[in-house]
Amino acid sequence: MSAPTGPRAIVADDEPLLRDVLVGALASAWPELEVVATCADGDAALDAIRRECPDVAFLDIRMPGRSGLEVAGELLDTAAAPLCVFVTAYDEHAVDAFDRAAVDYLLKPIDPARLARAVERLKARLAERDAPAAGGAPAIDAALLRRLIEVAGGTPSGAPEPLRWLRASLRDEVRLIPIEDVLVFEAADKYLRVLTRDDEALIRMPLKEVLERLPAGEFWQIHRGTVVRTREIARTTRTLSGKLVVHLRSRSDRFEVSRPFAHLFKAD
Amino acid sequence: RELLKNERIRAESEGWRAMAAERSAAQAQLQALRAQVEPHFLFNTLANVSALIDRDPSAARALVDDLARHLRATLRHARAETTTLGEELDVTASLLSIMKRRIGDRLQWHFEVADALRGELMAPMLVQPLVENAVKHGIEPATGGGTITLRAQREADGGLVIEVADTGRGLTASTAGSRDDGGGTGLANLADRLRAIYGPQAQVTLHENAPRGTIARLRLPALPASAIAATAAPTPPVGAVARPTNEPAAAAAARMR
Repeated sequence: MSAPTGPRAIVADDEPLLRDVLVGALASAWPELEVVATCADGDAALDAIRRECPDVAFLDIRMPGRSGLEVAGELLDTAAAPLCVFVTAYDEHAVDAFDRAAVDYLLKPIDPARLARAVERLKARLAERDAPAAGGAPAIDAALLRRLIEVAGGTPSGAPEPLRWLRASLRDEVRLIPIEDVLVFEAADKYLRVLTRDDEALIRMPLKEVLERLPAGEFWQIHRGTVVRTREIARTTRTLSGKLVVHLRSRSDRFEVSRPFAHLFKAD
Repeated sequence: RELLKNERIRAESEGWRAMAAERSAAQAQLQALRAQVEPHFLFNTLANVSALIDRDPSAARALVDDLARHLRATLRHARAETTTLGEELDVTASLLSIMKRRIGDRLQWHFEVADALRGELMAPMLVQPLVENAVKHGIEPATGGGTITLRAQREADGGLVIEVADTGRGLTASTAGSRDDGGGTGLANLADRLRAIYGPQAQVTLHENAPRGTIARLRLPALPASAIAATAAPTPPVGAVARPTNEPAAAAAARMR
């Protein structure tokens, strides 16, 4: 089903000058290539790809909206997905991953020699695609892309988003609290009390959801309604009635440990 | 003799605490320094310079000048023990000029700081990281961009409040696809440094901006000129400003006399 027209591409980068540079460099390196759309963000890139069905997409990996990697991720199940070439100014993790996986990428500022080599590879792959004997192999392996997104882009969709910032009510304002500052979560009616070293704020999130999204290994649940940052635990004591109580380093509050969680504090 | 022994133990543990505070301040400074010469920023900016050379040579020149000024000031700045608010604003302005050149209308910015406040002494690299966060996590990821406003005001108790507000994406917007933590780690470092230098009365907090975006608010307590001078007293180069964490600078300065 090869089209009679020449190869077509889209270019996506959020910096207008740099888009322009790549389009100009492609005009020299690959005159037959028609750039059918230029985009300033990942969402526009995705729209353009779905609309134009280009053969190649040059995608900046850091863009507003979806990143270049996420755009490629959205196209994984698409039959006519373009060949993707990622573009970055500097991203050592992504570049390492790209090198190991032999995925094509370009560095900014664009080096003409490197671009010429990328163009040769793209031409070869497009020729393979058009050949009748070619199988239906996708442009990028799905597992590889998921791994790339993890390495360079953060958690792939599906995993519960890790908590980084809490939008909390503190007195009469909305405070943004980084998760690093949180010492304790404590259930209070429909809210959660969020305790930091100097303050106490409220968020409206179920403790269950918080537990799913906390950074692994940093917090312990010590009671049905209490979650404590482990490195904040100074010591435990027993009340007269035999209850186990946790003391914190940076605050004077104390928190009861309920029986299902007491095993956390048994000496080995 | 018991009293003397206790005195010595207390002095030693104070000494240890002072060293620990000094080390943490130095580490934070080093981290701030590394973040300053961030490769992604540098290479993107150089790519823009390269693009401008043929298209708009005088703009290319202006961008190179801005970049050189920014890097030089940042490197010198991060080593200094004190600076003025005016100098911090100048370094920040060069950064914002560079970003404006790169992303165009997606970034608007302005300062609302009375001239009288520009001479205020303060520790370096407290404002710039907040502006960088506003650019990196607020404006750049926002499809329509936004405005960064920097305000400074004297409080009734003589302290200084500096606010960096952006109308960009906002921190609790979905961060799927971004590996970084929205600046959380950098902010924690800044808060640690702030406490080490100014004591517990100094704070950096983040608030939601309306209709969208983030406000970073830096509160610096008033320090008498003598305490700032004590802060600026010659110290070993890497060890910058060091205070036992529980003791505000003014008391430490008094103690040192």
